[in-house]
Amino acid sequence: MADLLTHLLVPYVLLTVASWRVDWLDQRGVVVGMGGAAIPDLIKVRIVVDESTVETLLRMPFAYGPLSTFGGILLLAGIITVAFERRHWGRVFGLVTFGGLTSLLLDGMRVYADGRASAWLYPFTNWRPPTPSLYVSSDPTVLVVAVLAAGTVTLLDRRMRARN
Amino acid sequence: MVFGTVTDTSENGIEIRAESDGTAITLRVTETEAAVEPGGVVQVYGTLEPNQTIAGERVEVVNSSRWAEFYKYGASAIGALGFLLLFFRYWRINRDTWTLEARDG
Repeated sequence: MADLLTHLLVPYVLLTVASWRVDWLDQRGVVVGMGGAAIPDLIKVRIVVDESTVETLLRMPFAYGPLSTFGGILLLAGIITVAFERRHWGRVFGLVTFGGLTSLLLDGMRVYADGRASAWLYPFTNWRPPTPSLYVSSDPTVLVVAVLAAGTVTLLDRRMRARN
Repeated sequence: MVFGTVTDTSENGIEIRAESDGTAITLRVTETEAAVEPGGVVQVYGTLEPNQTIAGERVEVVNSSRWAEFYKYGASAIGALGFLLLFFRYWRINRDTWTLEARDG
């Protein structure tokens, strides 16, 4: 997967641009969407806490893999949503899910030697979508592009808000 | 297709350590000229042959060396820290109800 910084910057760019047209979407909402983009990266918790350790604690089979799938995003988005005040629930759920999906889409475009990305649409389908194989996860170009895009959008955003 | 960490490189191929479900095996990948150092990570798509050998049809270098791994974790750590700072600029925890509420909202 792309690094976490890139994952966060993609929904920042998309949602900030959307906020120029969508009245209810403000910077608070943009930040919530960025949080959703971090969900697929929670899979990396396994470096710290091994799956077998969690299995022993829960006394049931456990895997981190589904966190990087559509189903995992929906489940975690639900859990995150209820941590917010009730009046924000609808928008928070939508924004977190959106952010998570941008990460999955971005990860679905990286290189796989057999030309097909992981089955990230699980549990809706086990089909592995074809990947355009645009980058490998350690390629700094991805982050450079994301940082440049985010910088440009930040400047434009300031100008837009100064005008209003 | 397997993912593996490169343990050795030589003229006629590379040796990788692939792990699956907690079991690790060492595989020899032939017919590849991938530019990778030991400690790097590769994806190998090819034909499995006897003696734990894969004839590499397509080999993709994910991390060319250990440094690539550090780069990723570094960028991710900056991302995590920046996000937390940004998030708590717009939201705060209400300690009476234990919910997240908007600042000045």
